[in-house]
Amino acid sequence: MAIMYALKSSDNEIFEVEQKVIEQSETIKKMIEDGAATGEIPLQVSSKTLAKVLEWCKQRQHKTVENENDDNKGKRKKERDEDDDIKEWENKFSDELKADKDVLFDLLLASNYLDLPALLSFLCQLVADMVAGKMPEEIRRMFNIENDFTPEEEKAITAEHGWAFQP
Amino acid sequence: MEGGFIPISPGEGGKTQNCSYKREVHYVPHHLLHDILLKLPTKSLLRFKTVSKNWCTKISEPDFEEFQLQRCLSKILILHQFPRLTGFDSFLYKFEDKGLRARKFAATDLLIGRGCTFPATRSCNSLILLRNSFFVRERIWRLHSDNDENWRMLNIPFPQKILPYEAVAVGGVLYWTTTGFIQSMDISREEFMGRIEVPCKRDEAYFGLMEIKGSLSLMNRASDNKLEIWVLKNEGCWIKQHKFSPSLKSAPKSHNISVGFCVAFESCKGTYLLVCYDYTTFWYSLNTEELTPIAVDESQYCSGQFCLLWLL
Repeated sequence: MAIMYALKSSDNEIFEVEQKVIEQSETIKKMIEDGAATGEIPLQVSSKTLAKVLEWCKQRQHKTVENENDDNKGKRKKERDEDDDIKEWENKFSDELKADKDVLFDLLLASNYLDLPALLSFLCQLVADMVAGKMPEEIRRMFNIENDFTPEEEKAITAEHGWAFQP
Repeated sequence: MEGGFIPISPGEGGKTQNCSYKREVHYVPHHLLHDILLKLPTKSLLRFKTVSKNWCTKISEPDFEEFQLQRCLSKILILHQFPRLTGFDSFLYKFEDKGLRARKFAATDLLIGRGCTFPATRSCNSLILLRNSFFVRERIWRLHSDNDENWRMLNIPFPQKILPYEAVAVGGVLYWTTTGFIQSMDISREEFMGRIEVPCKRDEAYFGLMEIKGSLSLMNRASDNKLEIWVLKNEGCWIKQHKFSPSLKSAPKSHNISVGFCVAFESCKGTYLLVCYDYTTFWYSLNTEELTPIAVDESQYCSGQFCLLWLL
């Protein structure tokens, strides 16, 4: 029988999760190994965000288990179909995040805190795709960054890389 | 706090303006910002140097520049074609070892039948191949998306002399070389546009179209051992910007230009050219004028008639 762990979100919601699913988080894996994971594991992650994290982990876990059970026969075709399925799932997942950027950035912080390298890399790419092609002013607004250049300094950089500021 | 953010509390300032502002503000820790920046195209990175001093410092750090260059390299493939009686064997090479070595990693059945050269370019979500052969008039093939398997053929509405040529897409326009001219086509509308005169003598062995800093550029072989780079300015005039001599293993006896291919790419360290020229493959930095030879893991590579570079 699968070992279950109870995760407690910052707003006190409990999530029951299989060990194999949650062990993808290096942070929690270490807690389990150290024997620190007894009873409910309190996490500094909201229930909304934690639900998303677990959605991702379950999808990844699902994929690993299937691969282990495969024999080589027909594996290639199956892998291709699976790749398509995963791509479709990832597209849906990223569409949802793009629609709600607050969740996206909360999830980014959560995956950093829980140490989930695959999710982190996926989210970094998503943010990169979102900001690519934008103008500096839009970036400053998005991340609330103050422009600490003098107009002369800014002009000098703009002149140096003039082509990059073309549409 | 540098590069991070100061959250605007709902009550702060009490101005309604801030409410819509607040929803857009997001916090990204430092090391994650580094990871995100690494995934951005060079053009965006150079632009974002003006976001703030902190962003500028991050993007200009030597370590960051080196990582970013490696990432650019990892996106380049060399497609090498080796002639056989029935057509060509095609292999893909990619770079490893900091771009000093190209290793064969896949055979490809991408290219169809007998043909001569297949310059490829990627633009407007489609992949474009130019193909010519001694039996068929030249054609442009277009593949609309990565998942699409049906190449669509566009006929070129005017007869042209057959030549091995190069193609590049700059700002939604496809350019390719023919004898003495550069032809152009609006990619999204699939409309043929005008001809552009080339800066060098018509019968001179010129080759290599590239995009350098958003402008159409051309590499020309001025003599056996001298390469020149010309850049087309907005006003429609060509400016010679660089000149260099690759130290070749052996001076070529014939003027067989089909062996020369090049591609340019931008990195935070500046513009780099990747050149396959007379059976030698090398990097050239336009900023430092440094020339770095690349080892290719295959003896067959040198005897292949066509090799071309493919920027993904």
